[in-house]
Amino acid sequence: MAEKTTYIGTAVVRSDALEKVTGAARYAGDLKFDRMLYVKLLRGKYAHARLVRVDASKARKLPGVKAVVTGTDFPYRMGLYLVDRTPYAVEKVRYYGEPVAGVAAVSPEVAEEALGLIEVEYEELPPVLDLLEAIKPGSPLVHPELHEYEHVPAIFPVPHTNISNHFKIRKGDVEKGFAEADLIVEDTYYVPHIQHSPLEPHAAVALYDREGKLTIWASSQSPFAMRKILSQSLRWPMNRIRVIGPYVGGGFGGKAGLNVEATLVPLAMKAVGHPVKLVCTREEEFRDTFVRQGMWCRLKTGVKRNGRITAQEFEMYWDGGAYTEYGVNVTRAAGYSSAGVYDIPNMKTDSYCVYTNKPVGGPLRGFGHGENHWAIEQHMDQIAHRLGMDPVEFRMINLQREGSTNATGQVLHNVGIGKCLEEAARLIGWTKVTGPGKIEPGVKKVRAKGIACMTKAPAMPNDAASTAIVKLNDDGTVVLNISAQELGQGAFTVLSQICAEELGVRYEDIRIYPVDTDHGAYEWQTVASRITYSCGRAVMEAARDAKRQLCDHASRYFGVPAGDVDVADGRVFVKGDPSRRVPVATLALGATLPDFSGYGGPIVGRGKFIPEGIVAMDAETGQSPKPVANWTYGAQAVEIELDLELGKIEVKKVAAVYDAGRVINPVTAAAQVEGGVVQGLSIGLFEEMKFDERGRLLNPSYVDYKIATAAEIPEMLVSFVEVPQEDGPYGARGIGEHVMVPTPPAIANALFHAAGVRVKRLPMTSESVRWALKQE
Amino acid sequence: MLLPFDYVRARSREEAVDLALRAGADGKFLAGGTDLLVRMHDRQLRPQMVIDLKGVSGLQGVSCCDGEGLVIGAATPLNRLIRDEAVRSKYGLLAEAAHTVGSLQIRNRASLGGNISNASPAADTAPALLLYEAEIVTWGASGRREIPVGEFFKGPGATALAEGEFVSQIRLPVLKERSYGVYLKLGRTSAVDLAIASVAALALEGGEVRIALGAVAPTPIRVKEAEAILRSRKDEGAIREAAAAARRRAAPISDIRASKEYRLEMTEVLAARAIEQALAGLAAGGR
Amino acid sequence: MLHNIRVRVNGEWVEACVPSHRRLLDFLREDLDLIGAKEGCGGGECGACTVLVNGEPINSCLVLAVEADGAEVLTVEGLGDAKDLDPVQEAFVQNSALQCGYCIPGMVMSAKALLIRNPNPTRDEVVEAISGNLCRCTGYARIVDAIMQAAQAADAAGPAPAGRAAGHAPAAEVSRAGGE
Repeated sequence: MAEKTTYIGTAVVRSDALEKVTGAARYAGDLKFDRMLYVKLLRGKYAHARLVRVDASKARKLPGVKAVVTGTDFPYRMGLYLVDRTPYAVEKVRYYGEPVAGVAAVSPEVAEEALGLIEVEYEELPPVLDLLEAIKPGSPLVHPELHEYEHVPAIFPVPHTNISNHFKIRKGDVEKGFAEADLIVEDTYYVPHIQHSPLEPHAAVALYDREGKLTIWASSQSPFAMRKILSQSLRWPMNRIRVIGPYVGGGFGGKAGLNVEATLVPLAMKAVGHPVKLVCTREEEFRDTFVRQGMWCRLKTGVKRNGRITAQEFEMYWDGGAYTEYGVNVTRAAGYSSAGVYDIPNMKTDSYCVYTNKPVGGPLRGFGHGENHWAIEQHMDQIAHRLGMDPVEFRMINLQREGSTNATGQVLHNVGIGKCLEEAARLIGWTKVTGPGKIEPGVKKVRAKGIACMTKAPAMPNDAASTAIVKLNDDGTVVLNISAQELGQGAFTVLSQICAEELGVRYEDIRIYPVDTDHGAYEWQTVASRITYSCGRAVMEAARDAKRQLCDHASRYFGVPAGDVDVADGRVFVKGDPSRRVPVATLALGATLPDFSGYGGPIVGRGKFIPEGIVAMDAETGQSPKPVANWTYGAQAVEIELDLELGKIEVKKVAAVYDAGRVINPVTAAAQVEGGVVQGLSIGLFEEMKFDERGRLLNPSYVDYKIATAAEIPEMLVSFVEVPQEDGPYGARGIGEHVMVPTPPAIANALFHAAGVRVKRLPMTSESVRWALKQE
Repeated sequence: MLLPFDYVRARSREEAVDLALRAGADGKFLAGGTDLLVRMHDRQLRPQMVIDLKGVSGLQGVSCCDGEGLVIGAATPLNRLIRDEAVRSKYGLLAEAAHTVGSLQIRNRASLGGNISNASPAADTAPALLLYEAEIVTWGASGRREIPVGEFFKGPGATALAEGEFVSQIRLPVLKERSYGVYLKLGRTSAVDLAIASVAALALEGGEVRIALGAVAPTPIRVKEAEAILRSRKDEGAIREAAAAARRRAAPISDIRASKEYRLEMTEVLAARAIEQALAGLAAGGR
Repeated sequence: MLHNIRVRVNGEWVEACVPSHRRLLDFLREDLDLIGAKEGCGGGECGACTVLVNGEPINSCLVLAVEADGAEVLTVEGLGDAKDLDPVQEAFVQNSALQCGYCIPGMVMSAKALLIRNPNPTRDEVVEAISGNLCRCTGYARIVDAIMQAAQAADAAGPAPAGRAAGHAPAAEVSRAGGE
């Protein structure tokens, strides 16, 4: 008998590799159907304006145009956490670029010509573009109707203001904490709006057929959530809505929830029987899909001379944009993680989501955390230097550890951050730093190291659940029916590994098909680094269920107790008797007994998972014994070279260490880290959406919104710590988002060590560094 | 997706000019298309007629006439130029500058004629052409013209080309002395970016050092004031003075890529580095 | 304005009638159903639409279909399939040099073009060859590793043909190019 193959911790080849290197993989934009129509959207030309008149009559008459819709045709509000958004502007446009009308026509050329025939009369309203002005009393309101909007209980809008969520942490007694402090450090930090910029722009096809059923094919991280939002908004039963999700060409949060797909629904309903297709242009991708909100914050920390933090006060203001249906949750996530990786006894955090007349803020990889850690992790270095302590040493004193509490008062166990920090420091060759870098005269380039930590929990409702179905084919191959999305993170590979491990079949014999809400097992969304953890558990259970059935068949087939049979390498066998074995195929549809009677029947295993024991945070204090499913920790150290004359930072080396609990596939895990590090580097050095004084985006293209190219990649050293997650499969927890969070602050800290300057506003462009150096 | 237009492949210089004159403002010449088609895609331009010049004789390739320098067909893709032995050995600065344009894919299409005809202040090949004192050969309603490159650029997007006129060749006069050229370009990313500021320096065996700037004035400019400083002295102090002179000549704008002030400072920094490296290269043997 | 063109795509001559404004990318994707080349930006900045024209990598979003008349075009579909991968594709698989996959056909074609021109590239040359191909997922490192490995593999196996473009396949008729 062959040894049981162990797939856990093994670098199997990605299950999607062949499809993707041969060009066979299909994405939403690759789909083509008979009778298909092409959609173009007319977009608003003001950041804030009343729609006085929208006249599409000429467009409707253009030959080849099959459907035209405007906001009043479909005034349904939608939203995942706060129901504040219509697919097309109704009465008002609230950002420059908001859809005003949509056209479906026989060709994209005709659709675009039709857009030019739609007459729109605007009455300009004062735009709300400055985040800090927007919160002042008397500011024009972006949503005067905010108090009427439905929202989930965990969101706290402030009626008759621009604040769509106010999240609070009140832990211990901050005044007392500051009174005990020997040193108080206070500073402000800023992150600009940025874009996910997946290489695949948003794309979707919608069909409303003659029986009144809506089918959407979409590049989406959230087929089931999309169905739910549409069902709730349209008051349709879910069995009238079907969402199919082919491969996603990069999501990073931007394809979560309901997005551009909503604009297709009324067009499809007017062009009955015609699939209507929208592929966003890169300009639309930059401006008119979710963006990461800008955030301005003030952070104040009290610390004892011995390095122990006594109190923290944190105010964050989020530039939420025109609609904050998803963005409100970013605010919340940044609030409950506002202690970072530190054990801080007394805390006061206020995180405000603010409406502005800017593009719609939404989730972006590690949302809330990339932003608040930009502040926290620089702040920690600043405090360390004020105390004359090494930043690693200072962090070690304050790190969360066994029995510590975080911002929510949750008592923590099995905390891996200490090991991560130690390992990252070791890998980069950390040597004690106790102050700013000093520039010797005549030196043009300097090298230095910096370090930063992070933690993040999945920001999701307490009922975010997963299911899995394992079906055996006649020949013993397996259909793993799950509805996690393959975004590139390797979900299909890792989930297949778990299935193979538990069921005892070969990894190669398992297939996962594209998500289809009509046929697929339920999945909340592919977000929050939760798939390996949550869907992984469901797969584990489903595979075990299928294996139990297989062993039951085998027990009758071989005439032995069920406990005496096992499955490995696609064979079912009697333990200890290698001669008595059959391929899984023999028993997949049931067992044929010696008298030729059948037993059992086709095998279908089922599994489900919901994180248990999560308790809602108190509305006033944010306190909860278990506010989230789990926390993942990590640390990154970087080495940079700074060109002092140009101000240019080159990242030479990055050491990244994460506590993955258990690594299921070391290659896909390391690849995630590398990708995250480079995205983090890109955000740190290059990325910013720039707006003019009228709220127009100035750089909606790769010409002037630069992302890292292959020429920017540093040497990357990736390592994992494995402190098991109690309820994770084999102890695994998510790392997908975490890996880009600490890169920018680690670079900022290295910059300080190089030249004694800080740039507290992202990105750290050559110009901004140069000015900081000049001021010094 | 592009919006409809008519494409015509001109078979001769005369036909190209004729088509362009008839189309007037609705006509656009096409060579590599890496600028024109982008603007059409972005709906900044909507020509009714696109006149492809790639089939016109004399517009392709590099020819070397003994003792008379080099003639480059305006529609020659930059990669062909970069790989051309005559260009590399004698006009290395042009190859180096062309190498910084866009990506490899772009350089397989983008042409030298297109790069200068668009008259971007940041056109990477322009400073090198200024320093080699290139002649721009054009064809138009009045036939053939030769325009010194220094008189070709008139402002951002504006050239000496008349309506219906196009660049057919770029002539590089013979360079008898050994020389060494350096092109320094500061972008945001390390590859595939437009210049925030750029400086070309060409050190000649006879003692002359030529300097030109990109992206820091309405046109690419040559800085004779800086060159004059270096005619007799090439010590560290002279390099610093020349770099400061370059900065004084620069008249940049603030835009999305950088502020005016940063561009001014970088002009000085890059100029000093370029001069230093060009002198060192020449001392090490040159080209 | 319509143009009759003849293009050799992945070894097969294709005849078609295309409007002037048809881009090579649309011609491949919409008329020939070769969906490997992707549109990422439409402006020549991302490289997702990279295909080889007469052996050189170009952005097919910035080439008109009519300009490709008479040319030889190689797309990822002309490289290899699951049963017979090109060494470049094989190296991408072995190095896990892909995530979402959207940039990969373009990336593979850039790599292929590099190795045709320069079978033994340095790491810097590989970086330069793909710096016009943006990738948001992988951080590029594994892609560079894969291309280096493909070069070594090809080196060990002797000279490789430029793609698997077959010689005598019949010309496929494309009756009409859509779009107008």
